[in-house]
Amino acid sequence: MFTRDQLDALQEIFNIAMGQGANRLARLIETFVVLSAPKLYSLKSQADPELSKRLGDTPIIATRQSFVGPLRGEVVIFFGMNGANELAELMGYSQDGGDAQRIKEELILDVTNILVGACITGLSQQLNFTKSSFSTPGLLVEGKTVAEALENQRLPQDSEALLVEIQFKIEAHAFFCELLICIANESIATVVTAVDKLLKGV
Amino acid sequence: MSFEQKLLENVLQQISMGIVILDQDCRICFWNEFMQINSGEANAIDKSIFDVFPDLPRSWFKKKIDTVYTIQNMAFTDWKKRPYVFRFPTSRPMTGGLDVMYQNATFSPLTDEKGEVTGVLIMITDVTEVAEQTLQLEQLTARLEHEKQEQKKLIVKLEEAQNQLLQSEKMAAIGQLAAGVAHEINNPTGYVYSNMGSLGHMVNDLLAVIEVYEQQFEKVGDAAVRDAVNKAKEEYDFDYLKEDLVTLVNESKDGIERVKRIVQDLKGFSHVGESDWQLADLHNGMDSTLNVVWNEVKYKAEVQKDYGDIPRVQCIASQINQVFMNLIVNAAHAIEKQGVIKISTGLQGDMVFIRVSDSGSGISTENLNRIFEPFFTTKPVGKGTGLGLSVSYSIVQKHHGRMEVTSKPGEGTTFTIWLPVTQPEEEAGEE
Ligand SMILES: Nc1ncnc2c1ncn2[C@@H]1O[C@H](COP(=O)(O)OP(=O)(O)OP(=O)(O)O)[C@@H](O)[C@H]1O
Ligand SMILES: [Mg+2]
Repeated sequence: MFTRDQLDALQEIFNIAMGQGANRLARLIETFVVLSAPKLYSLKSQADPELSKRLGDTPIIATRQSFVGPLRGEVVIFFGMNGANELAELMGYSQDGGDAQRIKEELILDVTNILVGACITGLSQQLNFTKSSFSTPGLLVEGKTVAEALENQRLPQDSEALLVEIQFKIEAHAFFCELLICIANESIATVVTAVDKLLKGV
Repeated sequence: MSFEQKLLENVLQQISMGIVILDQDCRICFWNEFMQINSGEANAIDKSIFDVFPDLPRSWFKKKIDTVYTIQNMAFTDWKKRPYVFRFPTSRPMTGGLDVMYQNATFSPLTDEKGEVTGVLIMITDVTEVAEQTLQLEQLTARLEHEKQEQKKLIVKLEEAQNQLLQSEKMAAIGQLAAGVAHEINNPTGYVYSNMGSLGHMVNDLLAVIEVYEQQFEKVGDAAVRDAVNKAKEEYDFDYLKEDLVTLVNESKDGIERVKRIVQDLKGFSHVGESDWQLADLHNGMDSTLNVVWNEVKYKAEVQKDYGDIPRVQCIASQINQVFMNLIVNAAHAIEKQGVIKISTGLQGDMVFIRVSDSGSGISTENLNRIFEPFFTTKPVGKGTGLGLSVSYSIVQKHHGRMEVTSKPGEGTTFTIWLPVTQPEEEAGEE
């Protein structure tokens, strides 16, 4: 699907885009955010075992959000169940009354929105795309393990989509999450063209 | 204003959703009619949103606005997680069940030509209708779930009732069978019993006559006669015959007496026989029962009585005494060498209880479920028929009472009989 050069360039683009995303998140919550180097997969079956290995049997909350525009796809985020409370404080939810479960879910959805927005906007800027539009974020599964969560994914195991896996951690807090950016097949060509344009420009 | 601008302004004002534009300090730059009508605030422009909506969660809202400024893209709220952003009266004031307008909100960045965010566009959609329906559905689901649980409980109860019914049906069937058997056996037993009595006497008489013969025989001098008699005596082992005859008759008497008792038990079990409902003093009954079985008890156990203050109880006294007897005899049997049988009584509400505890062997858990079954016994053949408790059970049931048992193997057993002081109208005196 991609040539070696294209893949290298994409990796670089993701590095920068995700760095910008982390930076935006950090500014918002005024805390340092650490992120792993993005890993690119072209098949879902390659990404799954990695995720399972990393998250193990711990219960997770998974959310999803779609993006449309020149780039089309969905982001699935796996949150560790712990650490959400600390994040609630950082995000200014704690003094807001209401039942704890609902606050936690709203927070997780807001964080999803922020992360997806930061990452996809960063990517679009790197590729010189116009802005994307986003759907409302939604809860996918709650309290299951990654393996169980992935099992219910509609995405076929061998579908050819671009999957990018990134891990966010908030310095000095228990919070962490794994992002899986899935770019739909029909957008791949657009990405390839954009990458080629960038490569020529260098 | 150009025509297009006017048109645009008109659309924004008329559109049936809330539209607000805020700057980074949350000051209102624009808001449309929807907002104005619902908030009742006519002069909102340039005011801080927190002044117009004092109960807006401040830090949460500020963070939302910051998010849009910082990451330059949209943010959302969902009514399921947060019913509303701005507190507006419901859009279904008459027919609805909610008192506020449920809202979904979208926060979008407004950018200038350089891409800088210049304001946040908030769009409020009224989803009260959907929320009403969803909440109603949720309530319905909860109610259905609740009903399902109730039904489950009912089914369990039904099963229990059915088991009880089966148990009493079993009892009734066995009762009928027992009544038949008892009736059939009663007559032959009766004459065998009385014949055995006569036979005993006759044997004694016969032996007395033979004794006289023996004495007279000593005086006979004829050697031939003596030889013939002695030969016959030897041939038929006369001395042994004499002894054995008495033993055999006595054993047979014992045996037929046991048969009689069993038949009586069977009759008791099937309630053939006596049937007088009366107001009885249970303490009297217990004491006379203790007298009857004293032989079984006295070497085994010390009897401790702890009688409470109980009224006379409407019952068939002879049957209740039979229950007492079964319990006391069982208790005595359960004690291997030496122990205590404690008998206590008392009144609770309109029920009296009679409790018989022993310090005997106790009953294992697997047997505990079976002791009320007719013919269930752990006693050696000839000692127990296994009818005592099943008879007692059906007697107590007929009295609209109940029997409880607790037991710890190795420590002892407690049987408690609960009887109503008065019987329900229709049933008393029916028999
Ligand atoms: N107080 C007790 N302690 C220990 N076991 C008991 C006691 N009462 C009853 N049991 C057990 O329950 C069984 C059934 O008792 P039940 O009175 O029905 O019959 P039984 O005593 O064996 O015979 P019978 O018909 O002569 O009374 C007994 O064989 C015995 O194993
Ligand atoms: Mg018995």
